[in-house]
Amino acid sequence: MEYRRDMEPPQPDADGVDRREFIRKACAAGPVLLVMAKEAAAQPDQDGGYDPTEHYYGMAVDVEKCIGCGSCVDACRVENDVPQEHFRTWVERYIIQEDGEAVVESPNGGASGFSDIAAEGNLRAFFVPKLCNHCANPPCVQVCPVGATFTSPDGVVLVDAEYCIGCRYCIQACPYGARFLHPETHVAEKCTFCYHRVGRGLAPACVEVCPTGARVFGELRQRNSPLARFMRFSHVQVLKSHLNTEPKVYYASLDREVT
Amino acid sequence: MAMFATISAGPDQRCVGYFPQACSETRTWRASSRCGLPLSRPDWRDYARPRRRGGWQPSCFPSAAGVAHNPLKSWIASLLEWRRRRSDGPTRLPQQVSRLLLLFALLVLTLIAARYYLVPQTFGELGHYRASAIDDELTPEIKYASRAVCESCHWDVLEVHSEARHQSVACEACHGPGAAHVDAPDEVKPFIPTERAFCPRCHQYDPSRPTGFPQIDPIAHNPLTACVTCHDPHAPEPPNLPATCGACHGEIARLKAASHHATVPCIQCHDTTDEHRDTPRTSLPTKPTTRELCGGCHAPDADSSPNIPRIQLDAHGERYVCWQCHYPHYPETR
Repeated sequence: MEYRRDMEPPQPDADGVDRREFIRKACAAGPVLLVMAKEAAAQPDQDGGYDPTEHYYGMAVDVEKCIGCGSCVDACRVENDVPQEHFRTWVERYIIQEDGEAVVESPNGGASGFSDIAAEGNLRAFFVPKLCNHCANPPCVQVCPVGATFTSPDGVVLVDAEYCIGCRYCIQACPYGARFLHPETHVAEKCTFCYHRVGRGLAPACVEVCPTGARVFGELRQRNSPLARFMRFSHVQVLKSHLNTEPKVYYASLDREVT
Repeated sequence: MAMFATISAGPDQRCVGYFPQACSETRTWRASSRCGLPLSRPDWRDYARPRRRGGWQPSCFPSAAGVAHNPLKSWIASLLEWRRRRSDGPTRLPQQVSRLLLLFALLVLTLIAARYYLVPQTFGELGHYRASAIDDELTPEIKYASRAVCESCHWDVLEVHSEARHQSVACEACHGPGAAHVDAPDEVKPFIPTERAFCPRCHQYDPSRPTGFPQIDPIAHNPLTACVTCHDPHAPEPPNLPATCGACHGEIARLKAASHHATVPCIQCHDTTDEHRDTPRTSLPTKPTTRELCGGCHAPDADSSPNIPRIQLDAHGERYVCWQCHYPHYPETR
């Protein structure tokens, strides 16, 4: 309705607030409220107040820094109660022989060290830590018949232990062998990037204990995060890129023999 | 009962429903079902096929015979016909239809009830999964407290540790998970590794480890002495810095010693700062970037021994730096 001059001036309503005055005050309060809301959002995530939509996680592994000590494997087992003889993360040793053959071994996931290698006949050897690649295009999620494994909004591929029926389709589908069936609960298990730690603002256990800093964890979409910085400064690759799974675990200084 | 029958539509046989009224010649159509409803709509084969010369005549079709053929009307008419024939009582749905409807309603109700009870409340909130599973993943207690928590009390160690060579090694990498110690500092004490078997986990010599990483042979290196008697684990110091390149880059040094480049010192090709001996990764040596570096000995006009093979730099493998094709630590002999 158009306001005409010959109309009655607007009267203050029952609370005594003029409409114009209200609008004026609301305009003044707007920026203040915005700042307050932003302050509230900037607070670190409290327990239970974790918002997965505000994050997007990834990990980088510098193969050249890994010394194969197996601390990550042990820490993962302790932090996540991983059953014996199963691994959420493990360390592989690649031995490239003179004839070009690559020998891969991971005794006890690398947790109890590696045997001596022969001085003759080997060109080079190195360690490659492996874990769930938290693919952006995960085959395990595609094959799950009940929607028990899923990608959470922060990019972490998780398993709903209450919903999993233990059919092992996902274990078959994972091209990286990162999943296993828990021998007691009979549900699929895998690396969660230590989701309970990440939700509390901590780094995953393997990243925490890595003595040489071979593992870098952080936000993929924030340019100032350690991970984004590492990826800018290194030439990173992913495992089995031809499968188009779009892994979010990136490897720097990766030998081409590694799959 | 035969579902298809050849019958003759005589004057006593009434055609109901779709069936054309006008043609009374012998024809084939589908017999009606038991209830009297036509099984299916007739197709062109149900119409009389005129055998006489002249082909199809207007009289073959019901509409042409004076009756406007309306499929809907004739279907309703067939239903009414069925009712008239079937019952003298009040109008009811056919029994099989009402039973089918009841069954269908029951199925739909069961499906709705099953969905309500079986599908979790939060399923589908964020995607094809139970959204509350994210909260379930957040609930487990942490076991590793993180180094920031350790440092908030043990600031005296932090002062030494943060400047030392072990600065990248987190407290809990050696002392084990510390969350229990944080909750009850007096009751639970973290693990303090003092035995000799602990440090070789990282520092035992293994050719698979990256070059430059400090490694020892635990059998030959001061046997039976605990590592901590000589080395402060919070701030370890190497006994002496490596004097030669081969101390760390042994593989290259051995290879080069057997090659034609045995007498060429490493620093002739690699500019190496003194800091590289102390902190190898923070100041890396250079690699040759020009072809002239090799040309210093191998160019035709180079001032070098006549036994050294010569190459025309401007005619040989332009665009590439020499070491991209020739391995300088073990150059080919031909």
